[in-house]
Amino acid sequence: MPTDTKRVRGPEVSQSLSRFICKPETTLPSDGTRADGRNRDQVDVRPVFVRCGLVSQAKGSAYIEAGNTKLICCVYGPKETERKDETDMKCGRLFADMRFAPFSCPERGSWIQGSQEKDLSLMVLESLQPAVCLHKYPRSQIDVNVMVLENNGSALAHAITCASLALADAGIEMYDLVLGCSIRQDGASYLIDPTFLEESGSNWASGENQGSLTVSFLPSLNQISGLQSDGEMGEETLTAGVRTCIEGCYKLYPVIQQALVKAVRGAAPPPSES
Amino acid sequence: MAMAVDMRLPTFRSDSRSVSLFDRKGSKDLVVPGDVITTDTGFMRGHGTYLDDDNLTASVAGEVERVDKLICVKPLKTRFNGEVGDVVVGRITEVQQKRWKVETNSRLDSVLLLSSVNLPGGELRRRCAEDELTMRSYLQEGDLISAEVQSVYADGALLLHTRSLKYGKLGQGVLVQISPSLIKRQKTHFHHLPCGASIILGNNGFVWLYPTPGQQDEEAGGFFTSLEPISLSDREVISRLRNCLLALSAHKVLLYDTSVLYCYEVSLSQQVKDILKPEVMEEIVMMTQQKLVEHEG
Amino acid sequence: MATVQLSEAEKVYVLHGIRDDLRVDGRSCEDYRHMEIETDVVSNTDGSAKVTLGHTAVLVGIKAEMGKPRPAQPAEGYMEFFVDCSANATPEFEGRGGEELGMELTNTLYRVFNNKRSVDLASLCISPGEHCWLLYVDVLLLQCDGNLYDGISIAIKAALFNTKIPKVLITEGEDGVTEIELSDDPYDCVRLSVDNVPCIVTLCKVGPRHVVDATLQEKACSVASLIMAVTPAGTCTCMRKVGGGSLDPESIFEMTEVRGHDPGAPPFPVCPSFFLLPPPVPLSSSSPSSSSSSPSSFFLLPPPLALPFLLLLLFLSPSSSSSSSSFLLSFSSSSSSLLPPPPLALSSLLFLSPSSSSSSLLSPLPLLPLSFLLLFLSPSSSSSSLLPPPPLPLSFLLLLSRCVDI
Repeated sequence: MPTDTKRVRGPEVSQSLSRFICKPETTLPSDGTRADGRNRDQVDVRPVFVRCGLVSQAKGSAYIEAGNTKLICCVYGPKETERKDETDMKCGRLFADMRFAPFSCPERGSWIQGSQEKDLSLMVLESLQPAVCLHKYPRSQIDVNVMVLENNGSALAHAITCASLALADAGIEMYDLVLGCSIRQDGASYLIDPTFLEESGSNWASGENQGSLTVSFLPSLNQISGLQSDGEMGEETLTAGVRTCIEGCYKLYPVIQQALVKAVRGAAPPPSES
Repeated sequence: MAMAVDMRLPTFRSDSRSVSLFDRKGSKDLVVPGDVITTDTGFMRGHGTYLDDDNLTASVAGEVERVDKLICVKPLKTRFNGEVGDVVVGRITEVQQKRWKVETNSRLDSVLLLSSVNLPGGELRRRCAEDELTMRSYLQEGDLISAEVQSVYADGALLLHTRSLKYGKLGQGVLVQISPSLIKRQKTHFHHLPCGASIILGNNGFVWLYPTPGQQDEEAGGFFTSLEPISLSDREVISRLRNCLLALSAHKVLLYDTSVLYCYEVSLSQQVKDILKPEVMEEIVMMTQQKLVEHEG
Repeated sequence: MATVQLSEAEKVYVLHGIRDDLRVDGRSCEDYRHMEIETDVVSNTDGSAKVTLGHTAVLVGIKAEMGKPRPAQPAEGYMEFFVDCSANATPEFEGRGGEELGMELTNTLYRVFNNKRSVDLASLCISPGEHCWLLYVDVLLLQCDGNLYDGISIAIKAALFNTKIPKVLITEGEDGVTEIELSDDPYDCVRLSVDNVPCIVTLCKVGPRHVVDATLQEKACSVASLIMAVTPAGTCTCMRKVGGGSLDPESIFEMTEVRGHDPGAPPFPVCPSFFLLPPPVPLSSSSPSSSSSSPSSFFLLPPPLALPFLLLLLFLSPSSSSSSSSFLLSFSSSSSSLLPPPPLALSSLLFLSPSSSSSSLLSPLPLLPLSFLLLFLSPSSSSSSLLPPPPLPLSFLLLLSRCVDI
């Protein structure tokens, strides 16, 4: 059975306070506006704050804030790859690692296991791979590290966006930016860009069509590079959900583009007087 | 279009093994490691045996072969042990300084020297330094070639060459991997089957099926591969042949052009994808063997 | 996953073949390879199954242990998955090589079963907050030849079906000490309902088309694949894209598209997944018993519209010719002729061939013990399961119906 060998947990008997709080079970209100004022069934992604080039040591870095979800991503490379296979002769490798800070979730590291982080890292890798021109970097490897500082829902989707920004900031050649968007299906309506409370599994009512879906999308090329769904949903719901996520990505696109342009402009030398 | 899913309980495999066609008169002498073959000291030791206090003992599980004064034990399942002159089909695993390493289902990877291939542009070109750098453009990792064994190194590795127009890089087709002991040694291993496909029966157990090339000469220096789509009828023939080969090898029938052809003819009554079902496989193999016995006595 | 190397020309050949709907081994893009399922293969487990799909072999063992329920869900038991890619499968898995693949498979399994309807976890609870059953599902890859997800999900479903959890009695002893008693009768056990357990279908995108049940060769030519876990009800519990390529949204929609069932397809409507059914309960009559080949047992049909495309359409080969004794093993009429009279009494899967009435089945009941073949089985469990108290199934039923090729 996989165990979490990477963290030092508190003593076995320690428990999180949240179990002792006598609060009634909060289930999602089934209609009306959401807790943060957004609407159901509308493509209402949270406004994001994005900045590139924060970490000076890394080749490229990016920081994203969406609501209370805060993530930072650093890119190191391209550098010589440690393992040499024949496949490396033709194209480079991408390594992605996504971690959660122990204080990032309401309960200290207890609901997320090491294997889940690996799963998310794999998803980030699969989403970024189609976008990076790896054949331009033979025998090299590029490391992408995402750290979630505070998790208030949609961590994976924003991690993907952040990672692609960091790659662009690092000057790595890419076919397109990768944007992530996630959606939470609650019965007949959906909630786009869910918060942590809206997302967490224990709040799932039992009924039809309960689940969540994360899509990572390349907007200019109109390609889906990553797709992951959870829970039980019918096919029409799934396809509608994918379309909604794509729309959400399109909404994010201009903001991300702008942030990147700003970063480049800031870093570019002033035009020479001639 | 309907999807076919075939699920079942495991079938009880019948124990009646098909009788080998080349059964010698009398029972075969099968030994296991440790069995004493003979205590007569007049015999020479061959492969698969060792001398244990004047007793000739087998060191592999297999069949005893006796040629005059030489006794050796041929193992029933073995890696390919190449001899000079064998035709092999291999896959390039590594590109090294002046040679390629080829995987041929033997103990060690075989070697193909740069000087042993026909470069495009004719045979008589000298190898210049440039050729070494552009080796990868001729043969890459993953490419398939047909070659002949030129010699055998002391440690058992094979040295291959493709110095004839019939050898070289292989184009579109299907590779089937079977046990080397099932390939019959023949005069030629390249056959154009009348059913519309061609076959290369490599001695090392790699069998290559490909559509019969048209009017253009077969090997244009051996390195030009056409990537044109193959017609559907050719594909069906090739798929059918592939399944027949797998069926024959599952039942330990010796493979050569005639047996493959008979199997193909017998299987025409079944759909291509059904050939791999256990009961259909048995039926086809039995009918093939009958046909072989009829025609060859 | 374990990879094979292919030359460029071979890849082109495979690509063009798939485009023309004729794969290398003659299958069409939506055909599965030959599959064999056995249950109850390991006697030390509470449930086990072995699935062979072409050359891929998967062994699943389930052990039930008593433990404390998760604090977040005190009235439910839970399941723990673990997939082990042993070095037996392929040399690439030697040492730690198979660990990554094993983790990926494990995580996907968690995701697939992470919903309230697949397995009734509430039935695994013994006393809320105190005791519950934990099911450890351990998957072992014996041989790897592509399409691991499908094989594993089928094996898990079969193993869950085979799982027998002993009945537990909780009594309040003196001083309020709870005592736990396991019933002595080894046949007195709780079975899980696997009606909603999803099965995974992997679709590999090769060129412009997608194929089902890809071999390692075809996988080497594909850029990405889509994994979907589908339930008999037609809903999808987990969808995931794997692989380093990207997919067009249109192709994803195509893959998930509901395919209306061809009205010209006689005689069976298509059922989207496996159904392990309790035995002779007269079916909900949706199966048209036109050619009298509808099995007496269940056939849970979704409304004809909801046919998830590439779900496992299980088809029973109408073995009209099979005699009553061979109804037991009616894989296909030809196969029954090859089978020697089954000596062993092992029942894991009972295939019911057309039975015009269930009564015809009941008479040969005594023959049942003689008619099952399994490679490994514990005789005790088998014979017991064959003499059913009414609620217990005669054995497992796995319905497969072969659709007449269109």
